[in-house]
Amino acid sequence: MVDARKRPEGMSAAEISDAISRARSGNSDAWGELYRRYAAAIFRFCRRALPSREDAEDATAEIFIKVQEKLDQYDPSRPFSAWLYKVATNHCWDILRRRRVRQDLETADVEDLPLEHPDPGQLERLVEERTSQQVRRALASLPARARMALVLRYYADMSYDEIAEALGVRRAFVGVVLLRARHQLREALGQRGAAGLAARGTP
Amino acid sequence: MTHLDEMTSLLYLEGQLERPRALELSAHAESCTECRALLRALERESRLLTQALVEEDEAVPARLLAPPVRDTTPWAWILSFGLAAAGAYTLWTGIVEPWREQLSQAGFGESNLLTMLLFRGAFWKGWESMANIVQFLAITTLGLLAFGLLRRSWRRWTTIAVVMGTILAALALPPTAGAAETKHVHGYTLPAGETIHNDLILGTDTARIDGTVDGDLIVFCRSLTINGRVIGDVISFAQIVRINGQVDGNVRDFSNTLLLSGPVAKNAMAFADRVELDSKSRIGGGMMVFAGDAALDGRMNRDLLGFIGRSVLNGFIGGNARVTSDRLTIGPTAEIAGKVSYKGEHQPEVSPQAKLASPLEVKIVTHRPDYAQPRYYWHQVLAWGASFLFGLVVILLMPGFFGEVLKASRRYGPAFGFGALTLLTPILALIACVTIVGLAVGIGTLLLWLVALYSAQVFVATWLGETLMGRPTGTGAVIGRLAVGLILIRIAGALPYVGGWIKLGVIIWGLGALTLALYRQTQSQPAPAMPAAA
Repeated sequence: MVDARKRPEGMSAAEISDAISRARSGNSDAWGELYRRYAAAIFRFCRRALPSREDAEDATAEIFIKVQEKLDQYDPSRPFSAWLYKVATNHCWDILRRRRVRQDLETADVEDLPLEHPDPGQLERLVEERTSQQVRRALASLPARARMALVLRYYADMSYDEIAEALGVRRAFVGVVLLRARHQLREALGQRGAAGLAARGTP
Repeated sequence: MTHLDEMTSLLYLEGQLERPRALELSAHAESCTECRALLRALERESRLLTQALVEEDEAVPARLLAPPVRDTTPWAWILSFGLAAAGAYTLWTGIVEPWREQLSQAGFGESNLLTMLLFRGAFWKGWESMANIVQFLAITTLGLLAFGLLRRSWRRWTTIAVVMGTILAALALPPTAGAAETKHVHGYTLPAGETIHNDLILGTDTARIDGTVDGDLIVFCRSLTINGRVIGDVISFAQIVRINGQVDGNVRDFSNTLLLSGPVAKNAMAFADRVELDSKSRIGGGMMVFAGDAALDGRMNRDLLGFIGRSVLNGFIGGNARVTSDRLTIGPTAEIAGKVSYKGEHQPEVSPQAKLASPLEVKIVTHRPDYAQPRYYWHQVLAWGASFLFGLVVILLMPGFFGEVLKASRRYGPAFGFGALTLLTPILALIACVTIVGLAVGIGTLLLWLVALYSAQVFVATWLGETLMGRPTGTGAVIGRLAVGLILIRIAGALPYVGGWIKLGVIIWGLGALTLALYRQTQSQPAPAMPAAA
């Protein structure tokens, strides 16, 4: 599995923690190194989590300003990227919450509906036929929380505990949120994909 | 053991199960093809998801290449304010002050230039009618609508600023409604003997006032004829205006032709191509004329201030006459009680029978080419600074939109097409002024269009800079390209003969790009991308 949190090219863990401690003491070069290392990943994170490119640009800049200000609060015994993603998640989640894009649909009544057991063969075919671009497009159409959950898990590689904290749900509920999100994604992919395939003239 | 359900399979794959349960599961999967298939499908789905999310499908935007700094722009703002202050100061001392002086010398001292230009009467009534709650609500609703439409694509605060600004501008404009009687009809006649005890605002093709208007008369029309009486001011925007009747207030006229042949108790002002005052005309105060041709007969009790192409004075002027003109003829019946000063290219022709209280002051101006005057270069630098400032504000406040317009400007064909179309906007705006849509919308559109005209050069300049110096890598580089592009456009625009055409091309191109980008902004909201704001 590709891990978005993989260590930086050309920067070892030791170098990172060294850069962090220098940045904490106000060294702007060290901060620049850290920034260049993580900016793209955070931008992509925001791009996946937020509705528009402009939002993602702004959010990325704001997140790094926040991180720089809060660098003192970072606990060096934990991975830096985990902390970074946590700040980013809170920021993006705040933006989404402020805009109240979470739909009423996301509340209990839909969540109680039982999920249909998938046919493995059908699911495998769907996965095989869809390109990552189609997946991204389908993702963008999901409700904010479903999308956020998938991004946190499969992009930021967060643990269930971290996701529970970020989204403000119980730990035991994270699996349900993720599974439900995957079902919504399959549905979106099925519709869009079917249309796309029909357009290309293949059944 | 029964088959695995999907939830358990997912938790198993993600390593979220307790060890004994996980072992149990993997043992079952060993022997069960169906569950193995489900696990495999889910795992492949996870992989596809991660791949889709992690894939570097688009480049990181240029502005994110360097670490952001809070308040990156103080220098830009200081520069902006400095330039703005210099520009405003030059404008004031160079243009407004001398005008004010001339105006007050010409007998318009009681009202300053601004109230003069905004024709105090209408403006003041505009404020009064602003209290009209319906209108206020309508404008607010419009503003909220605009806010709702724009907030997705623009940053929040910019949107608020723009919408608030527009609302304020709309409120500041003289609204049509209010206490006055407003009429939008094809042809309007106020019959003789009838009186309207109110202000009358007309938007019509032809208007004829044979009766009495006991208030101000504000008219937008093709042709206006006043045979009756207007007790307040007359403010007219028309092709042709004939005033044969009596006006007890002021006349403020913006028209192609003004023919005045009756008494006006106070002052008169005309922006017109042709102004004729016949021998029956009486003006109680002074007159200010901006016209291509003016033939002034009749009696005027106070000063005349004229900026006129060709002027002929035949009547009586009780005060001073200051005329800046191409040619001046003072006829045999002319009588001027004050001083007469003339500034122009040709020697004035003065009839020997004309009665002038003091000798004519003449200042002949020979038109040197602009290039020879140092002021020309200072103005060029100032104009450049103003456009640069404008571009800077656009880039800093709306970088996303700026990029969109820039992208649109690279598509020459559509940009030029749309630009040519958008050039026609003022016609629509004028129609809006005269029809039911109303004056505020019309003037608002016109102002926006003027802003768009002005901003056209910014986009074309950035494109030009980009073409010469390569795609920019950061905001600083974009600003640099803007600066260079503006210099080049300014130089090209100053070329003799072709300069005008180049300017026109720049305007059409930039305007088109702007329109295209705006159009795309309204189109490209991917409907399913985000649930609508609650």
